[in-house]
Amino acid sequence: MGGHVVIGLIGILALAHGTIAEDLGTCNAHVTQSCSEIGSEWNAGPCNALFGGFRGNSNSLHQLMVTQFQDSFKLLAMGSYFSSDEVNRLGIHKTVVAQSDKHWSNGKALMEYILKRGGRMGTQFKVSDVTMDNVKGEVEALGATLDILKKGAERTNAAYRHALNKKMHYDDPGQDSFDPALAHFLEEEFLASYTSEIRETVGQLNLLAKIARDDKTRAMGLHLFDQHLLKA
Amino acid sequence: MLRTTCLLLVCAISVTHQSCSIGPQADPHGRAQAEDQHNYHEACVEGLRSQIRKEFEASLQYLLMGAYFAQDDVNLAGFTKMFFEHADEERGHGIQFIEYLRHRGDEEINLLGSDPILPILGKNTWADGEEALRDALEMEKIVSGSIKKLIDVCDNDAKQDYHAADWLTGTFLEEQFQGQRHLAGLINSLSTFRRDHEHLADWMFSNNLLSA
Ligand SMILES: [Fe+2]
Repeated sequence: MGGHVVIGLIGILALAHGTIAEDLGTCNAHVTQSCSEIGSEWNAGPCNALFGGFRGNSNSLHQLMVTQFQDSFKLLAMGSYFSSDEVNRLGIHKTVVAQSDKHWSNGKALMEYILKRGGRMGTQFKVSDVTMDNVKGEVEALGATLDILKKGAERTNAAYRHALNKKMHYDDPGQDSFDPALAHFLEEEFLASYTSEIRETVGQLNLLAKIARDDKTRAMGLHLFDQHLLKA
Repeated sequence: MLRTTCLLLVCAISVTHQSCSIGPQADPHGRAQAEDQHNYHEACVEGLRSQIRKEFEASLQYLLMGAYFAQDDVNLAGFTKMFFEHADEERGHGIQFIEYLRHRGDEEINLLGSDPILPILGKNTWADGEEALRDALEMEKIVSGSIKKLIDVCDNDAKQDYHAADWLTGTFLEEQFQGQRHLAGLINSLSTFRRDHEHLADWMFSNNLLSA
């Protein structure tokens, strides 16, 4: 039940984002007709990259892309706190900003993929909600990073499920979303690295949290762990 | 009481300040400050902060430019490559501003603000490569203009921040001017070269950008 609600919601949220060229007849017929007309203008018409259920995934992919950029800015905002003179946890800073960089690349990879498949960037492209609520602790920063990674992985899973939905919409084929090529892309480019990064982040968090929970080791431990992260 | 609550795993994330973190106020000697009252002035610092967002807005605009040229009905990969590189550079500039502020001792937490970040020109389609290059140049000039204003703010009356003014001039304006010169040159080459054979010229020009 939850899955359908989420996918439906993403669809509604993202309607404003993308537009896709109309598919009318075969490309060959279009070429034959266009090239016999007077003039030198070319309209691509049905000569586009669209096939299969990509159209039905366009909205969920745009949403996925925008949240990657959003998470990138959030991580950057959060990470920057740790590089101030007062706080000076340069290892935490490096770890969080590396995740910001990674999310930025992810956003670009999704953008390129959307274009590869014949999609477009709409006029509504923007990145909202770029700030993090006061994350000031070292363990807290790793926790917030973990939450972002897991949410991102869950969103990718939702898009993946949508891409493998075999339901046929005979009255409106534009809603069909079965697209194994997209599923493969998400699996290879996103899910594999999410899996490793979630494990890596939670592993670090649980090490640091134990050290930081102990009154006797907190002050020195936070410093040493930060140095460790800086060298990692 | 707090300790019992904190036995729960959740506590690691929810009450960090008491339990898993020291916090900057905990030093009995007080925290040392990098900023000095002779050179560090709030007006200049605030100006530097506001520039971060402009760099990100330029970055998003360059992404849209790159995206347009990657459309299946445009397919000029050289323009995409160039504009995506610009997008990364602009993001890098935003980060450089954050790092510079930290270098000088700024401790502000909310450096990005809470408003949505929008592509600076709000544009997502272009007639051709030349129009996009002209927009890119325009955008660089907007940024250079705001850096100039920022230098004025940092070089004000008795509250001069010579270092910030110098950094803005020597590092940022230097790069802006190089970018502007480069873009203007590209535009003028392309604009004359493409006359009477626009599509062929755009394709050739894009291929040149790809191997540049
Ligand atoms: Fe810039």
